[in-house]
Order: sequence, then C-alpha cells, then structure tokens
Amino acid sequence: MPFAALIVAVPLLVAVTPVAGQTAQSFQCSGSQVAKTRVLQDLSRMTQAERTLTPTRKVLSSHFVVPSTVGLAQERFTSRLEIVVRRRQPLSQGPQESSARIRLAINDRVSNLIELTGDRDRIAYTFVGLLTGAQRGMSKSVVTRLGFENYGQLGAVKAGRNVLSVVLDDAGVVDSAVVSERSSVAYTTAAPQQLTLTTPETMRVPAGTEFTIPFQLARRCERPDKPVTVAAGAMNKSPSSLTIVADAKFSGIGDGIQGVLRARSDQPGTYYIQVTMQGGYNDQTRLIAVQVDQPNLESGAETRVTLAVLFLALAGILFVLRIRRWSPSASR
Amino acid sequence: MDRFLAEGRGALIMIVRSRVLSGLTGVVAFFGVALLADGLSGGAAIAASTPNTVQYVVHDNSGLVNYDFQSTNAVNTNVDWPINVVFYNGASVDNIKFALENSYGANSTNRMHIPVTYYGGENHWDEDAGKKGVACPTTGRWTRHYRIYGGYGDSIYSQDIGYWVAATTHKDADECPPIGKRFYDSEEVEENIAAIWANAGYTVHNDLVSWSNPEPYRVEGNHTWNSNGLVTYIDVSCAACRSLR
Repeated sequence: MPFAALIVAVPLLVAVTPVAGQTAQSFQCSGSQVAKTRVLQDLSRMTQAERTLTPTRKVLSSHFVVPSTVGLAQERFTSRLEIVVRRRQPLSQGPQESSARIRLAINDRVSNLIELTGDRDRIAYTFVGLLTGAQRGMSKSVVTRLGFENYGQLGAVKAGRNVLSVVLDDAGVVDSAVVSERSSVAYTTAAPQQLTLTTPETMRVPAGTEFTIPFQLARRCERPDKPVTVAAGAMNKSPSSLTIVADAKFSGIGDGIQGVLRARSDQPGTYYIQVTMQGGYNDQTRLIAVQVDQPNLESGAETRVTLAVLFLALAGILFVLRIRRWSPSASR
Repeated sequence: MDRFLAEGRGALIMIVRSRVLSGLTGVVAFFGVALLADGLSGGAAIAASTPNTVQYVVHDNSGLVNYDFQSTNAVNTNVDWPINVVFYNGASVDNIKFALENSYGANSTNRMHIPVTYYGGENHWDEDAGKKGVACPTTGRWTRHYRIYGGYGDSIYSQDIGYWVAATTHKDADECPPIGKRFYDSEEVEENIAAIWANAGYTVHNDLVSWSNPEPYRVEGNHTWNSNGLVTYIDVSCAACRSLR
C-alpha cells in the first residue's frame, strides 16, 4: 500500500464506554432497490491448467482494463474467489507442514483470503469478508470446493490496466488448488453494509424475574433476503449470574423485524449484554448496559417491615400508657 | 492475591536458607513452592495499570482495543501490554505466526484477552497466548514474546487496509524457575519484528500511527513499561519479497 494511502487510512479512536455505534441508521426497504452488478474481469479465458496452483506453481495473474473509474464508488468494487482444493495425502502431523492460504488480490491489495489447516483425515478452512462474516468449516473429502465474495480494498481498482492475481502460500496441506473461471472482479451498486440491528442502549430491570430485550432488524433490500440469527450473551463474565433464556432465528428479514430476547439475572448489578445478528450479510453487534435492581418484592418487604416496626412501637406505647393507667399509683 | 504471593515468596526464601535445602527434599520443596507461586499468578505479569484511556481503534468501523487484558474486563487497571504492531493487507493470526516461526517458534501458555469490534458494535473477546523465542527462559536469560489478535475469523477485514491483525510485544526474563521473573521492553521487540520483515523486503512503516497508548519508562511490580504509543504497520503481501521461513 502506498504510504500516502495509508496515511488516509489512519484509524479512528473510539472510547470503550459508552459504546459507540448504537444509533445506527435503520435502512428502508422499498422492494425496488435490487442492486446491479457488472463483472469487470473473470478467468474464463484461461485454461484449467493455467488456473491450477500447486506447491511449485504458486501464482496466477490476469490483466484487465477499466477505462475510467469516474462516477464509480471505490467501496463498491467486489472480488470473488472460488477454488477447488485437493488435500495432500498423506499429511505430515507437524503444524508447520499442515497449513496453506490462498489469497486473491487486485493490484496487490488482498480482498479474499482463505486459510487452510489439515491433518491426515480432514481439512479445515476459515475466511472472513464483509458479505459473509467469518466462516469456519471442515471437510473430510480429498477434494473441497470453497469460495466467497468480498468487497475490495479502497483504491485497489484504478483507471487503466489492473492486475488480478491469486497466490497459494505455504502449500503444506494442498496438492493443488484449481481457481474457478468464475473468480472475478465486479462493480456493484449494492453498499457493503446491508443490514442493521437496533437495540436500546440501556435497560433497568428487577433481579429474579425474566425480562425481555427488544431488537429491530432492517435491510437495504439491495441483495436477496437470507436467514439470520439474533443471539445475546453476557459481556462481563465475572461476576455474572446473567442467564440468556432464548435466541431468535428468522428465515429472512423481509421489510423489517421487531423481536425480543429473554434474559434473567438473580443478582443485582450492572451487566453488559451483547446482542449479535449473524448469518445475513454484514454481522452486527450492539451492547446494552443492563442495571439489575433489588427485586420489587424485596423492597416491598422492607416497607412492610418498617410499617410493622412502627405498629409495634405504637402498640408498645399504648401498652405502657395502659399499664400506667391501671397501676396502683394511678388508681390512687 | 498479591499479598498472598508475596508471603509465599517470603516463605520460599526461608526455605532456601534452611538446612533442608541441603538435601533432595529441599530442592523439591524449592521448585514446588516456586511453581506453586507461579501457578497462582498464572505465569503472568500481575495485572498492570495505565493512566491512558482504554479505547477502540478502528479501521473502517472494525477494530480492537488499544491494550490487551489479563482477563475479560476492559478497564485500565487490568491491562497487560499496549498494541504496538499491525500487520495488514492479507494478514491473519496463523500466517503471521507461521511467518515468524523461525524467530518466535515456542508456544506460550498464558492467554491474554482483547475485545474486538465489527461494524461499530462490540463483538467478542479474542484471546491469545502468543509465541516466544524460547518457552521458558532460565535464570539470567530472556526471550522475546508477542501476542496477536484477529477476532473470530482470525483476521479483521477493513476496506482501507484489507485483512489485518494487531499484536502486543514484550520480553520475558527469569521465568524458570519463576523467581524474580520480569516482563519488559515492548519497544525493542516491536523493532525486532519490524526488522525481520523489513530485511526480507516487506514494506514496514515504523511508528506510523498513534493508538493513544504511550507508556513512558516505569516499573510496576514485575512489569516494566516502555512504549512510545506509535504503532508500526507492516504490509505482509509482497510477491517479490524473500520468504521469512
């Protein structure tokens, strides 16, 4: 990455508490916003032999030309990497020999990375992207098909000649990786962030009773609807007696969803609950500060005890007065 | 716990001075108490404190906090070390550990923790024990040690710098047996890692970005701070560079 570009990429500092990002804009779904995508380059002109990577042939590259990037938003270039991996047999047991990674880059700016690890019987894979979130899996097959689409790095695609490359690194677990002709670079009108999750920032609940955590899901509708799961967990693990009673699964978001999760804490205190939406496109997480108070029953009991003491005191006073009235001195 | 450990070590010195030490029983007791003290402390620096604000540093809405922590409690009295190295453009926890295996090939067992955020929401706690030059430096010796974090996908993806992970660094000394063990010099280990990559031809931006975590030299228990708060950024994708392995 050029130094100037990195300076532009200076990170932002965000205070841990209070948590930022709670007031995310909620998207509207009109049904007429389906995104258009134009493939700029794929690998269909290359033969399978040219698209095959091995421990001795680790790089393939293809050139493509973009006449002009004027009017194109840099954050909306995408890249797709699809591969068929043949696992090495037999695999040695040493960790140094049992991993591999395959990366796709546009002008050396990596936007698809697949990590592979393996032993004698299986191969495990990991990849992460803005459209998929983090994905982990395992295959016992000798041949495994993998792939995902991701948004490219800002500034990766330039006007003029560009280079699409795929590289096999550290091929300890791989005999060969055939890169599909569908691996490509494209431009889409769909924004990287498709989904939003909205929750309250703070809640106040009594201890010992189940309470509900409301949430709202929305999507842009630029991409097809997909199943999502909303789950909650306690962020502060000690001391915590918080129990999350239920997660929520949805076959899709549609025009938007309002739902609740259920939770309970038997101990008063301040808890941080993270609510996470996963499985659609961009994963989303929100943090809620939950103040768990002494239960109402207990405070009611305190009131009753106070009243009882007052009554007893009054009764005592009356009793003393009565004794004094009936005492011999009083009768005299 | 600190007082308990201090008393434990005081008792250890008394054992050393006793005649019991002249026999095999004394030696066994010596190591037994030492290992007990180490076990009780988790083999780690006692939780350290920083006057700095503990805060997220994000690239394109995804990132992590500017320190790692002794436990899953992100407060400035529970920190371990400041983040001081970022690997970007194709980095993952596994590929950085693989690349640095020649110099940092031993596994540490002592996990630290850090919150990672995606899209501006607090996401989850990542953890790592890290890699060292040697597993347990004996008395009078030291080793370099880094821990590296990339979230639940072992890498964070941001559109401005691509796949990236972040690391803390320091030296460990006198760990076996763990009598007077010390942890220090994070700046020197940052420079060492930067030099390894630079010498192989990779693009290294030394001390490029402030993550608001400077720690001037000071001693806090067995934890000696020394970090300038400027994070070194290392571009790990380079077709023409020499392999680190």
